[in-house]
Amino acid sequence: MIRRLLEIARRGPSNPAIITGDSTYSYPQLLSIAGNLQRQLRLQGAQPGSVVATALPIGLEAIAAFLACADLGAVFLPVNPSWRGAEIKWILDRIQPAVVLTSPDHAALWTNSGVSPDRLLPLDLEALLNNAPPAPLTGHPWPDDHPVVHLMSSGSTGRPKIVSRTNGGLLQAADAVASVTGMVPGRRVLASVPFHHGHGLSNNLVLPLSVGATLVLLPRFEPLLAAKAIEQHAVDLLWSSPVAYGLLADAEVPASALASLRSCFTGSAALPRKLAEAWKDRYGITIRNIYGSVETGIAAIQREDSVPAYCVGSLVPGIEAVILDRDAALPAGESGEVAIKGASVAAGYVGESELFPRLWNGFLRTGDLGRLDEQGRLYILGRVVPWINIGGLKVDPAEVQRVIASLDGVRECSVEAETNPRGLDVVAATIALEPGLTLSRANIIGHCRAHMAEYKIPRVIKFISELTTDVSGKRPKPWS
Amino acid sequence: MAASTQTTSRILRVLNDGLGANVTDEDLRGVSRLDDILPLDSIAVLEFAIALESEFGIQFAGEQMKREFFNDFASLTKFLDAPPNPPQ
Repeated sequence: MIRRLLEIARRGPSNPAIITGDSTYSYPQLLSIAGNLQRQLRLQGAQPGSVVATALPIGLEAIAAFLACADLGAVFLPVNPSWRGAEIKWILDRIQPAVVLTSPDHAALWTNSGVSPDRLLPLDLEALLNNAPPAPLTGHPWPDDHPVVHLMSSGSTGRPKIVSRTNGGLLQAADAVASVTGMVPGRRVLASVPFHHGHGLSNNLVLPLSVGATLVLLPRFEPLLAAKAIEQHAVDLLWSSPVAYGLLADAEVPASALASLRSCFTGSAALPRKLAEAWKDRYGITIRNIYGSVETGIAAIQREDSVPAYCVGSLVPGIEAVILDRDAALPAGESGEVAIKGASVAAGYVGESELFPRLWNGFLRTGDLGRLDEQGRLYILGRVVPWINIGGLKVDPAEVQRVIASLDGVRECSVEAETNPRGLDVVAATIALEPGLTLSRANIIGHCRAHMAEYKIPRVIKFISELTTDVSGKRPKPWS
Repeated sequence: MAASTQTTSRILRVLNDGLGANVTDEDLRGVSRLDDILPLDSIAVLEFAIALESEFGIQFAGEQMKREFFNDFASLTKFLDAPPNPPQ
């Protein structure tokens, strides 16, 4: 990865790598910043093979951290900056990072969770920019199987697992995706999906930089800010999520602001057909589906302007797929569990190898329900095991259920997805209380907030008298 | 005061019809911070802002697009009662 970036910097020393706010950084400048950060990491104790955790929003610091780690041979572990005590502790129970890179105001969350202060490196961008003398990256040729990043995955149960991606796997996947998406030097990509998300790291960071494209950074997604950045910096390629496309459309961003866009891709969740059609009508651009996961990398991409319902496109070069009925491959047209094989597919979970899906002849079972058609196009119909997808963040219903059930007065609880009026999933809890007790919506939300990240807290809360179902499987009516 | 009651009803409509929550009049009664009764992650804040803009025919300024602004229920209601850029 770094050897390639050094070559890109040598060939086009003035080509912009990063645009953030009013500042532009060329490839040599970006690599220089990463070199300065790598020196700090080394002083802090990071070395080849050690894990460097980062809890940072989209920004120059996070990108420099990734590059610094990749060159050093350390493993980059991006953590959702909105995670709190219990979630940070969950990571620390599995991995002890040599260094934790974070913003100064986030540092206490880590020390309170048991990270010693001498392993914390609060980032100071000014120091990175002005650090002299320069500490250039080496471009050390790490082997293809060298781990370069640990990503949090949400698998079939929704509880995160830690997936290790290798140097070769990440680059081969980027090259394959670039070959079918027109990702070439000079393209301008809006980086708006956080890097702790596999989709964000792969498509908003590794893929554009690996070809010498330009990243326009959007630290916080707001539709009008996104539209302004697209217009101001002539962004022509957008990798995002249905939530973001929906917000842009709902904010009635004028077509003129998005006139530079030539390609739009979406992943993380199913694209509502209504949204795809509204977007096409208003902006004249087809939003193309991508399909994959942290475990598989991108497996399929929609190439045509129009595809049948549920179709996520054709397989990416180097990827094979089969549809399984238990342990037998099904013919084209039949539905079953999607299984994927290819260089980008992860080899296992860090520290929890027993949880990694059982392989079928080298194919990874995804937990997705789908089918292949005669033309080899892949259709995703749902999940074999359900989780709740909140704007690309996976919520484990069982985790939310456990938290609510631990509140005094709650007798039973059930958590599932409910579709909101915009066609997107929200977390919905149905709660039965102990007889004679009363709890309010505020009680439930306050208790959840103390134990988990905000996006996991139910938006819909229904109190019922009994949770049990009758013989027809129907639930009793809510009290209100 | 009457305007505030009407504004509160319209906010309630936005919460339920726009965001798909199931908040009741009773849930809202006496609430000072909206996050007491609604999870306000970054996506929810954006959805809420856009749904309010649509309901009230206004546009929030960039510096207002923050969780703190929408979380203070009294000041949000006051702002929506008399927005600086009322619908034409």
